[in-house]
Amino acid sequence: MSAPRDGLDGRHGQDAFVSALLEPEAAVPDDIAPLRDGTPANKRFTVYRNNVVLSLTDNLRAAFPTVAALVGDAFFNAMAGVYVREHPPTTPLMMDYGSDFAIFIEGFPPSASVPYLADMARLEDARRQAYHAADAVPAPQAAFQRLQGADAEVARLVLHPAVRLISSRFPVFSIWQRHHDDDARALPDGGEDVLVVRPQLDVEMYLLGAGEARFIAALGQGKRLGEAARDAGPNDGFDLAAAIARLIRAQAVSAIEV
Amino acid sequence: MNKTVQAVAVAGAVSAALAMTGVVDTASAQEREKCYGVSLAGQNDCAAGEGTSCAGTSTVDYQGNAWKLVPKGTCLTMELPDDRKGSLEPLDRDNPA
Repeated sequence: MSAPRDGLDGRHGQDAFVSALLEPEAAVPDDIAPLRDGTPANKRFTVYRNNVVLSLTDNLRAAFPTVAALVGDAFFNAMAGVYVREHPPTTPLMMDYGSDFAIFIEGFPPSASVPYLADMARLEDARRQAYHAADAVPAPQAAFQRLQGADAEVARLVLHPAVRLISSRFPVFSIWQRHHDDDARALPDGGEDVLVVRPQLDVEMYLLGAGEARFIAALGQGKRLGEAARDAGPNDGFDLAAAIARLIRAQAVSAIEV
Repeated sequence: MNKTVQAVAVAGAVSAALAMTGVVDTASAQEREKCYGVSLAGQNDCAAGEGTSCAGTSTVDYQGNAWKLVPKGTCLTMELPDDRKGSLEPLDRDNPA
């Protein structure tokens, strides 16, 4: 089949170039000129093709260091290689590349033996998003001290732009922590909810108690304090005071509207 | 639950929360300062807002518009090759074209 020839500047040329870049078996596009001495472009193109996948794989490794460490280099490189070819970047902003890596991992059959891997990718993506989120000054403790009487119930706590929540069926926070602290203690049973914040320059994480993730999510939807507390449900051990204390300590609130 | 009781419960929870937290340490950022023109290529820090350049993006050593967090008070006295100095403001030197 002969596609309209419009060179590498045109749409067809670019599509052919991109698919040849990502498909190791594909032929070198005709438009790539041989060297001046007549040497064909094959070798140069192969080097370039390799570098594209390698650099994107390195980018994923930098964004998902714990995922990479949990499965080891051989597994990670193979998995990232498949991902990179199926999901090449759609923007030049590498700070966002891999935002759907967790979804890919869930559907990647070899990772089925590491069932918490996708949630670890979600956690690391949340950390990255928090890192790149807009700066905001956390509300001071004094702002909470002014919340007295009936005001408290109807107040809206505006969450800091970096706040992210991850809820997992697995103890994903403990796995992250054990890994980073080189801690060999046994993991807790059951799932964990994690609050990710970046009050100043460093990303921090907090393990949440029962109902807290629902509470914070409700605040994030703009619900008033009393309403969000009801959403969290008093029946499964939700502790409102502990939840508010954690928001203060984590500096996860940037403004309080009464 | 009665509205008034509910309001009292929420306010009480806020007071209890404040009692639990004590004084929050907001000093972690204040103990350090942004120091321009001292980081090696690709090793700059970043606290990004939308549309800003970011961590690890500097392309030359000691790039003047890239910063690194350093302990407070050490930026201006930092010794760098060829009489360069760190700065608390972005610099015009060593920026990529």
